[in-house]
Amino acid sequence: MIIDYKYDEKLLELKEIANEDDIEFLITLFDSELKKRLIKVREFFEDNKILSDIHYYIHPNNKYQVIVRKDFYNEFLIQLFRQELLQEIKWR
Amino acid sequence: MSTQAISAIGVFLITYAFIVTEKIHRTIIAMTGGIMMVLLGIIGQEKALQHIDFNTLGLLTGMMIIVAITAETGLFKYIAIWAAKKVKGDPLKILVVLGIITALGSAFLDNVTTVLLMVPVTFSITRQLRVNPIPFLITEVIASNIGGTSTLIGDPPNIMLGSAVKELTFMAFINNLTAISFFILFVNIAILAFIYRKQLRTSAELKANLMDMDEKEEITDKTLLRKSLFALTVTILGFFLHQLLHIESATVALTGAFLLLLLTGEKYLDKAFLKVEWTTIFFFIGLFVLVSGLIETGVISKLADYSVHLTGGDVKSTAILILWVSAIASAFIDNIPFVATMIPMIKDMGELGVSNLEPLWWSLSLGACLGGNGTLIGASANVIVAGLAAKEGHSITFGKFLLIAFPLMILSIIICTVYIYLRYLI
Repeated sequence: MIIDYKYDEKLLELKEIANEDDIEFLITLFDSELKKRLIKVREFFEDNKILSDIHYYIHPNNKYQVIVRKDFYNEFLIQLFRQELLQEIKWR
Repeated sequence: MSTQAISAIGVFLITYAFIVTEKIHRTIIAMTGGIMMVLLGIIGQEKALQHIDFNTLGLLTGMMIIVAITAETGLFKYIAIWAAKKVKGDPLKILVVLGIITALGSAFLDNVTTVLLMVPVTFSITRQLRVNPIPFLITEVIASNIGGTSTLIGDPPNIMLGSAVKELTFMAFINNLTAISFFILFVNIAILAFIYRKQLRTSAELKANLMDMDEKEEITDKTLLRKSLFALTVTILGFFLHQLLHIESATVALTGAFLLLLLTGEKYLDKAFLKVEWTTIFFFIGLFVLVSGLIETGVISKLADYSVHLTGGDVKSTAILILWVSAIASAFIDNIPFVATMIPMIKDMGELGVSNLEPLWWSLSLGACLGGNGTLIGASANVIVAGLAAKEGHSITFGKFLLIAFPLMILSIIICTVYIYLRYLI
């Protein structure tokens, strides 16, 4: 990972890993209220009619796996900021 | 032949040519053709309106409203993920179950709607398993066209047949077409699974990832889901009982749609109406008027007379001829205008002395619906899925599809020939 993500660690945990040519995010929510915000991120990408921009998988215990196509990486981060799930990012 | 009949043939052929070449949207062309029939005085406006089959239009609109609202609940994603987990995340078995789910969906919903619901979740599952989505997409397209053949409401040709011929009720379709359609489906899926078996391998780790998914979380609105399932159940029950209750299938679908809107309130009204494919509805209106020009000027009667003369009025050869001509024609041209033209022709054959029309109707349905599997342009579902796949970087070319699907279509029609012969002609 070459980018550090800053977020409220009491509310969520976020990890970024490589998945073939794409970027995979593993997100765990410690506060169920945040689910609505993550759903809004999903809805944003579902509304654009591109089917492989992000793939969104729900796992038990508020764990989410999101595979993001490289060309939608910036947009995904913007949406995380927009929903205030991210606070800051910086190059390591 | 009268001048009006010649004009009607001219307008019909020009319109048909434009529909086949797909240079201009088929709805614009069909409506223009229909309007030309009226403008040229081939048919009066009143008469044209009488030929518009509101049962077909009502059935399509009602089902589109029900599906639009039900899709909001996440039900279809839930079913696909649940099924994928039931087969332990094995890609080959997932191909089979997604094919069966698509066929079942298409039996009760419009084929295009079904594939539009299935394709996103297919991309999602195949990406998780890191397998090529194309075998799944081709299987779903083929399954969708076969599933649609099995009921009165599954495919537009069947909707038109059920509406035009009183004896062809929902139960008549179930009794005559469901078993053979599902037999053909299993043959097709088995062959597709065999062809693609080597491409469908994944790791234990990726399967475990899929198995860990929580499909219940895909249901976004449980209250809406309960209401949708209630309306869907009432509608499907209504289809089974519509003959007994002496109501048309359009009344059943519209009752289900507006019952659901009553339950959900106007919050969903605009959304549901936006999802109704008005282009399809107007395509039908244009076609009904276009064909009415041929009916009213006696062209259809003449064609029927010629066909009866050609086959000597023999039911056996007429049924087999209709089956194969419908299948080959539907593989290359839109089956809706084809069936719209064939229905009055077969009716006229009855008046010209062909005693048993039943095998002809089932031949037309099987040929027109299954023929769509022959080429990439044979049915709307094929075109839609190929377009979506290309947009996502997975090209399904005309040749690639033809190589797999055309032999499967021919095999399906051979099975139908045996079925029609054994069940109705001996």
